[in-house]
Amino acid sequence: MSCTLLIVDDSPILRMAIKKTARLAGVQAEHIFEAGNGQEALDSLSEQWVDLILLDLNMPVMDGEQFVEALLQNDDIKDIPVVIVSTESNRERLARLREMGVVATLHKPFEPEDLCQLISTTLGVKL
Amino acid sequence: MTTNISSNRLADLVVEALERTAFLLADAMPPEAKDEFDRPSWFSTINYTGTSGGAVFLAASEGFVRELASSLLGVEHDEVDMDTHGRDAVNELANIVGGSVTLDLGSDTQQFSLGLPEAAASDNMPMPGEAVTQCFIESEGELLIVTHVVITQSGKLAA
Repeated sequence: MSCTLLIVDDSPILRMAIKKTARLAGVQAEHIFEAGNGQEALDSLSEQWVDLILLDLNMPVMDGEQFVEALLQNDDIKDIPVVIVSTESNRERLARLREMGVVATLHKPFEPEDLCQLISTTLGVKL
Repeated sequence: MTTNISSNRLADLVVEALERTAFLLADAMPPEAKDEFDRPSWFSTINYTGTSGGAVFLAASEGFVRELASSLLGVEHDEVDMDTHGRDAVNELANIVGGSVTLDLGSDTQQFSLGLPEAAASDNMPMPGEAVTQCFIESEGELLIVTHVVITQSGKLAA
């Protein structure tokens, strides 16, 4: 599958696990980028375009919500779909993020198949 | 308003987290069975605040942490760097269990804000008490103890 992903999570081991699942879904390893927080994600997006962002919320330096706010301020990248992949249970916060344009939420713990399905649905491609 | 969780429910959430996230088969066991396993040497905690406050503590044996990291990474046991991958794995499990607990306590009616997971000292582990719920988990012959504690607004363990 020819698409590019950015995984934003402060846990390197979770990034690796998500990357492994994405590769099983057919995304090529060289098309998967990683960032450890929102600021690193913005830095990454200044260097390359991606088709989808998988975003954790609770992170140091710049959390997921702050990242989405910053993303929307930038015309070049504001249309990249964002999927929340998080332990977040705060409904008000999730509702606020949906109003900001987040396309879906995947609650940890999740089945790898759920992530594959979400990538497929969001990008409109068949895995 | 629910502020605590039963031992059985806590165990269900932990088993689900392990099976979904790391494909680890795990089972709850009675407290007295813990003496048959290696003692925990890895500790992690995560706090939450909101309508009610609390914390989740994890205490895991070395073998459990190695198994968890190995499964998450998809590598052999001896390829796991315990200093980095081990710490990251047990902290992430604390994060996931913390999220599951706050969701289970009632995200429909209560609002919680989850903190960041961090290493804990063994002597910071809460002792059994009225506001403390504990479950004992076995996976691949290794031990994980998960403790949930309700914390009052003054920051003290609820009596």
